[in-house]
Amino acid sequence: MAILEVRNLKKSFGDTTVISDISFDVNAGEVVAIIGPSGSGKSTLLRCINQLEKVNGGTIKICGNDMIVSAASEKVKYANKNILRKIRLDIGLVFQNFNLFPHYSVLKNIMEPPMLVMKKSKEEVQQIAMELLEKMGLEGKENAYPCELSGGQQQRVSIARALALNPQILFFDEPTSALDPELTGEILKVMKQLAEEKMTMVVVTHEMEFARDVADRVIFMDGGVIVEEGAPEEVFGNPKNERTKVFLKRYTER
Amino acid sequence: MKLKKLIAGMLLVMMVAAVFTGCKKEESTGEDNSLQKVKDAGKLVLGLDDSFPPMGFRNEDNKIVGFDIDVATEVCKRMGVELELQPIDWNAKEMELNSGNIDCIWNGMSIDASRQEKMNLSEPYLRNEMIFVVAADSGIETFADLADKAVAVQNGSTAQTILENSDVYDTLKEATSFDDNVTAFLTLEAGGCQAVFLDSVVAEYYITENDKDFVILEENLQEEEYAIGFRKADQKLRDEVQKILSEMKKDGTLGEISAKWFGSDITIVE
Amino acid sequence: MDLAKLLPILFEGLEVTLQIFALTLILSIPLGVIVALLKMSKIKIVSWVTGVYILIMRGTPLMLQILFIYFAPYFLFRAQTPDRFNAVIIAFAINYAAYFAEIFRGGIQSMPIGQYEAADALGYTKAQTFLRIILPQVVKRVLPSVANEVITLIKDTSLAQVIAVTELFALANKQATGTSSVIPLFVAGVFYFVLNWILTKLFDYIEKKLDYYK
Repeated sequence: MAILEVRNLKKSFGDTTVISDISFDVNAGEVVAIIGPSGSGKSTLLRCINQLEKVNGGTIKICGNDMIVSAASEKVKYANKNILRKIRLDIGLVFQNFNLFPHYSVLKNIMEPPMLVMKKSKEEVQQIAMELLEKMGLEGKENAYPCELSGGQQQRVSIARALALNPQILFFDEPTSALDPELTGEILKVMKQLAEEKMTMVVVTHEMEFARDVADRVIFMDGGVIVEEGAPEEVFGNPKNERTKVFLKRYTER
Repeated sequence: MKLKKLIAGMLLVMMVAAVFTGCKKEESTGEDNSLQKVKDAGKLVLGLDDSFPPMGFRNEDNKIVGFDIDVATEVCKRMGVELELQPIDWNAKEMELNSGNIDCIWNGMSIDASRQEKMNLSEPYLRNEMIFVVAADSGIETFADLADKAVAVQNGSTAQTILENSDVYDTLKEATSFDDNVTAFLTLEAGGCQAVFLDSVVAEYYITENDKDFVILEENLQEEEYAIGFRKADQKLRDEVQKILSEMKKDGTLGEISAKWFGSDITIVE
Repeated sequence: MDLAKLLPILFEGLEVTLQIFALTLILSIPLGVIVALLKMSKIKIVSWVTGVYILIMRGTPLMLQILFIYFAPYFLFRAQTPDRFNAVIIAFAINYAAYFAEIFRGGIQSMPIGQYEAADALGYTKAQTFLRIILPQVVKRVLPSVANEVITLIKDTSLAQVIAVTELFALANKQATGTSSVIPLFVAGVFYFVLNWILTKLFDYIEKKLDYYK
């Protein structure tokens, strides 16, 4: 079953086209890695799906709900507020820069959204939050403030924060790019664990090893289009497109 | 964009202009019921800058006292109304009067042409000279000695206008204006200026009260007279107050009050 | 000069000064937040009108604004002049709101966009985002500038005397004139100093309190 369906998505900033025409599906339990050079439009794609950018054309469907009701290129019409809100709660987003709320403790960062947005009881949310912290290897950090944590710890808090809302699908926007190389491992480990638990995930990443080892499917984007798509063994082992080959060669040589 | 700036500028000018030109508009109520209004209200509201000894000022108990206050209290008693003292900012006195916040300005106010035009003034009740106060040991005795000297004067006072229009003014090094006469005297004492130009009644009171080593130059610039200011239209109120003042002069009450503040009867009410 | 007599008199003036001070803050800070939000409005005319308001408030002397609020009703509309004290409070509130608005706007606009996006992605409404995520952080950012304005306000209260509201400084001045002595002014100066010293300590304390995060 497709949790996410993107069809003919278009996005431009002024005269600059960032996404020309992109269509793809993500099925339940699937881990999709989106790779590609800087400026290929992969982060923008994620931001469009997460309603942080307005699209210029195409449709997006999440868990059976249409985010965009009219796909006419000139006049994109979004669904009504209630549906957009429902979609919003079905998906989670992990940012490159964590974007934790610095004035909240770790526990409040995780607990406030479910309490405020989903009106869950404090007891219930606290239980969930403590479990998530344990899962993220952050026991004992619940009363710390984000500024007291390492980058890797902050990113794990932000993953816990996203998970506390119990999303159907979780998006990662270059989750390790802002981290020192020695800290990326702890994030990738957590993500691998989530993959094993059959969490549906879409990961924009520069970590080729992660894409190859953890992803069920790899999408290579360049110049605002999907250039190549397939199982990691195919894309990494036997790339068909010339641009994919050049891109991967640069990475493997490093 | 230009238009927007223009509109913004106009709003600004309107706001400023409204404050200053507004007071020129005269209200034509027709009938003069000024006296009746005061009697109906049971009180006469007297506007004063309560920092003008000995005419109207705050004493050590923070009570407003002074020559004018004593006279006004007696006048009100005879009119059968209460006297209400309303401190005002001296610079805004015409606005306070015209907007009806006060019924009169009674605060050692000198008569001058512009006040005569803007207000309905009573007959003069006190004569005052505009004089220079200098330190006793300064060696300054005449106007000629004031050449190249610095003179302090109260801002917005008639003293300031008189000084600026005098021949002496051109010979001075500078004329500095202060918010009140006490600050001016402090400046004189501290050597920040060599003379203070002000009303003789104030100067004499200050010098005797404080036992300072100041003297008043014999030469004076101008004699002036104090009067009470009413609204242009309030003729009946003005006449009633004037009538009572004359009665007080005749029966000696005014002389008594004058003796209390100035040592003798120096009033000029007829 | 009898201090035992002078002090109770000056305390009366101090009471008026503190009333102006407190009421101005209570009114101008929330008003400043609203004005800041209006200034940032996407509706051009709203933002423009707010801009003109701020321009006038910051571009003309507060003393003139006090005179205007007090006398304008009569001279423009022949209406009763407002209560002197109320006029002072209105003038101070709308004047300080303009300054606070610009401080708050600076603080709000200095917030990283990521904070809005994170709140948005977590399903916060716009109001929730502003009140829970943005505003508390803005408070910390603008605190030093606000402290500056608050301390200036204490001293600005003496402008109330322009429409004859006898606050601390006016009263001290009148006492100085009435008794021909500078001591009342000096004592008033001590009062202002002590007030601002307390305020400075208070703001230091709040700043320390908010220092738990960066």
